[in-house]
Amino acid sequence: MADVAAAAASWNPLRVTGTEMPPNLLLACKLIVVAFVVNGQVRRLPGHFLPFFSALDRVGSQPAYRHGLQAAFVIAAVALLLNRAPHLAASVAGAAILLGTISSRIYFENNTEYTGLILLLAGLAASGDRTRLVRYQVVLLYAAAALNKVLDADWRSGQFFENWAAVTSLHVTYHHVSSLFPHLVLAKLLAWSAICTEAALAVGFAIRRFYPYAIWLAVGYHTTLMVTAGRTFGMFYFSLLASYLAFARPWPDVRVHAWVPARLRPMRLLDTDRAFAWGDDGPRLAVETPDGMIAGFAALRRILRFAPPAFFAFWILAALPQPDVTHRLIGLVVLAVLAAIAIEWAREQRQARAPVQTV
Amino acid sequence: MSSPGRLIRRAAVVIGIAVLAMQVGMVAYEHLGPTRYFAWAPNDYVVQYRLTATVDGHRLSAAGVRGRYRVAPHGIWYFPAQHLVDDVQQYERTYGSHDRVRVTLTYRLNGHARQTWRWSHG
Repeated sequence: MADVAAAAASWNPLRVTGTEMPPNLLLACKLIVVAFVVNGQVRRLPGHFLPFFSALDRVGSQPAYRHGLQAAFVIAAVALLLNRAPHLAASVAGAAILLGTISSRIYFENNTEYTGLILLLAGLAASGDRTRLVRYQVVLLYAAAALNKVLDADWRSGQFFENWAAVTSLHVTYHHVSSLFPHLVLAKLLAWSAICTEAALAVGFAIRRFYPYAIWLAVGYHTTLMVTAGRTFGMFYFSLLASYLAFARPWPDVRVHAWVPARLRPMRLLDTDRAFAWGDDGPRLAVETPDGMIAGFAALRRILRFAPPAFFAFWILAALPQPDVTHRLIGLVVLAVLAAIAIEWAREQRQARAPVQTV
Repeated sequence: MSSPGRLIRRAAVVIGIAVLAMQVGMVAYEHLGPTRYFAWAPNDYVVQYRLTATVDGHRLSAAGVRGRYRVAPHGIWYFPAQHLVDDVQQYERTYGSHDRVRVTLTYRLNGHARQTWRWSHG
């Protein structure tokens, strides 16, 4: 079966179907390696310097070790992008990053560790439910992060948040608002919001029916952090958002009918995996689903959901080195999209609850 | 799919599960001490610190500190301060073990009172 899949796999980096890896997971891996390269992280991969295991100090020279990790990552990333042996390629790319992490205490950061683990686990999940290892990793991350915060007295009291806010570029605004409340009250409120959000995400990502809401909340949470701090915390923003694809709606098995107005016809180019059977130009954007026809913003969302070029464009744009202000602007756009999705969900709920009128 | 191929794939999944289990163990273990390596505590600390060192009687410049430990001589550290201590200690016990060294790390964790850690050998 693997051979058949490999034979059918396209060499087009913008395609994610036709391999043995689920399209969602392959897209996640591709987005992560692209962000890793664009963000300048390949250059940062270390030689062995103050390793966690002293034996690593004896593996060749520091420059040779470093170049070995970089070469392994780049070859694996190219193989992933070209849809060649995706499980093996993802494992190698992840292992290169993790090897770098244990080879240097100075390089150790949670964001690179997470990036390496997602790639490694996506690669290792070569049978059965192939998204489960990545899903378990996401749950573990949020559960452990919430646990660390709730066990820390400075988090519970607001002391951490008060000092963290002081070193961000929004400290003036924070202190202005904070001064309206008794000492540490705002800090405590925000710290507990973070703790509760992370705990809720651990639960939300563990229970299938909550997946859409967990994805929405997680994207909103991390985007708010990006807007607030003006930075992406290394690879965290890109790797986290990519890993949520393991929870997303699976790629359609059969082509779905869709229509675009003539003026939006170039949108069809986004459908690199031919997920849609495009009808003649319609009066408006529409997609046929098992539950009926959807149109407008809902149809746009459905089309973009299966449009790898749109994902690549966003990840590259966000991962490029840039000033804080543009990260904040990108974050505000993402929050606006999330708000539109929430409004649409609320409208759907209202319609579902509305009494059916009989003639 | 051939039987060896299936076996390798299952073994890969088992390795993946072991990686996840090891993380659970690391999270529990790290909470017994002050370091939080591999415990998913991203940016949970604000440590304002200053690191100075004297090697063979000469005080290192800012560039000298950075060159020796690959850490900025002062700034904000978003991990437990014990990470800085571990970095310096490991350096001085291995690469720098033949030098006469005095190191001072002063830091404030989350705005609490200033603390000082010293190391010397040789």
